[in-house]
Amino acid sequence: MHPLIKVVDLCKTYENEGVKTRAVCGVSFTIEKGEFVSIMGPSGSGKSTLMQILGLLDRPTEGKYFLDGQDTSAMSENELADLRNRKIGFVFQSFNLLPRTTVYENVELPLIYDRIKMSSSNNKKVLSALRAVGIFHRKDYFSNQLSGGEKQRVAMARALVNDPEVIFADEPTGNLDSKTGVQVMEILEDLNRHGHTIILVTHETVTASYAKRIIKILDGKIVSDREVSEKKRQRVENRKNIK
Amino acid sequence: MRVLFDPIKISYQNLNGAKFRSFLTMLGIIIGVASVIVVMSIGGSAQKLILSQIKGIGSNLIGILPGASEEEGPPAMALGITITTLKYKDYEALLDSRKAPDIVDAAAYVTGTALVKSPSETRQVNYQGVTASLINVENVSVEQGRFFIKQEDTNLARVAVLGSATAKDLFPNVDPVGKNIVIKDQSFTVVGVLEKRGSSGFSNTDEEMFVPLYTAQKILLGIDHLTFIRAKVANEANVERTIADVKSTLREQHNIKDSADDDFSVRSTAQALEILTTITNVLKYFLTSIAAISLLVGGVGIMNIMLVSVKQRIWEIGLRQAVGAKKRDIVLQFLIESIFITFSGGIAGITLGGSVAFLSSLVIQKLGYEWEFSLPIQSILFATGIAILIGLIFGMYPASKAGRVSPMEALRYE
Ligand SMILES: Nc1ncnc2c1ncn2[C@@H]1O[C@H](COP(=O)(O)OP(=O)(O)O)[C@@H](O)[C@H]1O
Ligand SMILES: [Mg+2]
Repeated sequence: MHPLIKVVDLCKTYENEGVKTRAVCGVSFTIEKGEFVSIMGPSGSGKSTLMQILGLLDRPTEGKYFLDGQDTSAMSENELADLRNRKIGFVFQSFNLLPRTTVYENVELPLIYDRIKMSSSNNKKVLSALRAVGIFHRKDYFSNQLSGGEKQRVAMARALVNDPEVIFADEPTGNLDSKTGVQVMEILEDLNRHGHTIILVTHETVTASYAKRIIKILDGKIVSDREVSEKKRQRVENRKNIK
Repeated sequence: MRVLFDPIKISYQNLNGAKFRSFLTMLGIIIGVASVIVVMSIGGSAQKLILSQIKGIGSNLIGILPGASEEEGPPAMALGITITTLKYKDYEALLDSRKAPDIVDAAAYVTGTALVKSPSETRQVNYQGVTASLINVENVSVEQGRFFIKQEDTNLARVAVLGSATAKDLFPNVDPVGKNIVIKDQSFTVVGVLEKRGSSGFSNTDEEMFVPLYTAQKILLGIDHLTFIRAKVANEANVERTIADVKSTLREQHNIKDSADDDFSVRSTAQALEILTTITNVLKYFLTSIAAISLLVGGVGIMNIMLVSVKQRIWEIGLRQAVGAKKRDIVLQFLIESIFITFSGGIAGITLGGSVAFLSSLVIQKLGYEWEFSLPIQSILFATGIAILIGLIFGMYPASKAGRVSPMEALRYE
């Protein structure tokens, strides 16, 4: 069995008007199906860059990336778009919902770009994704009528709707107050319990601790990669119980 | 299907969300399409009016003019040149049933302008010296008194028949029949007044005055040639053959061997109609294309607003790509949006232009013309097609720009 994600000596150098910025370099790791991994590091350390490469939004300048055993470097833009559509879900810090559009339609969006699967089951998929994140009761609201926490739930439902292999969440609690942040993290935890692979990007230690494994990066390099100790996880559980 | 339908919904929502700005965006297209519609509608009606007046003269008439002319070009007379080759003898020859058997009747004409005095008024009047047969050839009828009789063609009788407007001008309060008028120091008796007919072709008989042919030639003008002969053919189907008869008769009269030496020209109303149709069509399409130029200006406005839109919604492009939209989906979305804008502008423009043309036709009808409002389906289809085309052409560049946005780039700038 091949791992879900395997990267080897990954590098990404941005070039803007002759100025080269090395955002990520020499990164290698594997992630198995069903894992809940946090990529943690201070601002500017290259977390988002790494996530964009793993999420097939950008290509590495060096190194190899195998998704589900397939070498992604040889793929065309259209093939990458298809993979993003079927195998990957995204949750962003600023929600990125379409304005003047209902919750239902926002969640349905990935299905519209999937031209192979039957569209007759779309309705069922949207409704079950809405239920999974507890936002079913708002399905006919317009996205701009929702609170921040509700918006992020919609975004998670949208990431879920195509039943992807992996969900990427880049600072999903960054625009939320701590209580709503906890709720969002609990939903991610719950999704992981139901078998979804989650890769979380954050600079907060507490948020990162929801994961079972933390990859720390600094200046574009991995500085540590370890399972979260039971003690730490216990502390998170305690915090939840206090509330 | 959804990939097609969604952009239309998005465009509608965007336009609806910023109504005034959308209106400004579409204004160029609205005005452009409206002017195309106005020009096509009014041009079409004007063309119909002109052609129906020509038809009103009768489609079984043949006109004979002095001087050679190109088949398609204007007759020499229209260019202000006097040619004296057409004579009364020619007119008589055409009435010979052995030479041109299908001619039922013909009228000969000379024209002039003179100062005419009635007991109370003095007017500058266009007059025609005509044969008595005019009444059989043209569709005029006598309202009061009589028209000329055959003997008066050549007996230098000093009699006149007035068009209805001329009669009113010269005799505002009294019945003109039997009264005297003075033309060039000669006293004439008014013997009749014609029924009001309205303008027809390029002349308006209501505003003219008629005197017998010889009287005009000898007493008023001092000439012995004709300016015009008009012949009536029994059956429209025989017009072509009769034209040939007329030509050979006149060649015989003028001792002409070769048709290249013809010193006259023969026209049928059908030909005139054809020429006029061509001329008015050219005019109509020329004006329409000028109106269409304003659509280009509107198109540039659309391009501008679409470029702004691509920039403003760059994160939306990124998001769509992140959830699986391909380059072609993005390009299609923005193309459909710009077409939706120009299409909506087109519909508004058609409504506006149609209303303007309709109101104008009401005004023109009030002015007394037999004007018919028309908004042909072709002009609506043409305007709609042009609007869609403008959206396609000017949406191309912004759409391809949207398609080139990389998802990573788009998601960074929020
Ligand atoms: N498109 C880009 N062009 C140039 N430099 C970039 C670009 N994206 C990121 N960077 C740079 O790469 C580094 C890592 O950025 P990022 O991956 O966003 O870090 P993080 O998400 O950990 O805050 C930063 O120094 C940032 O300025
Ligand atoms: Mg970041």
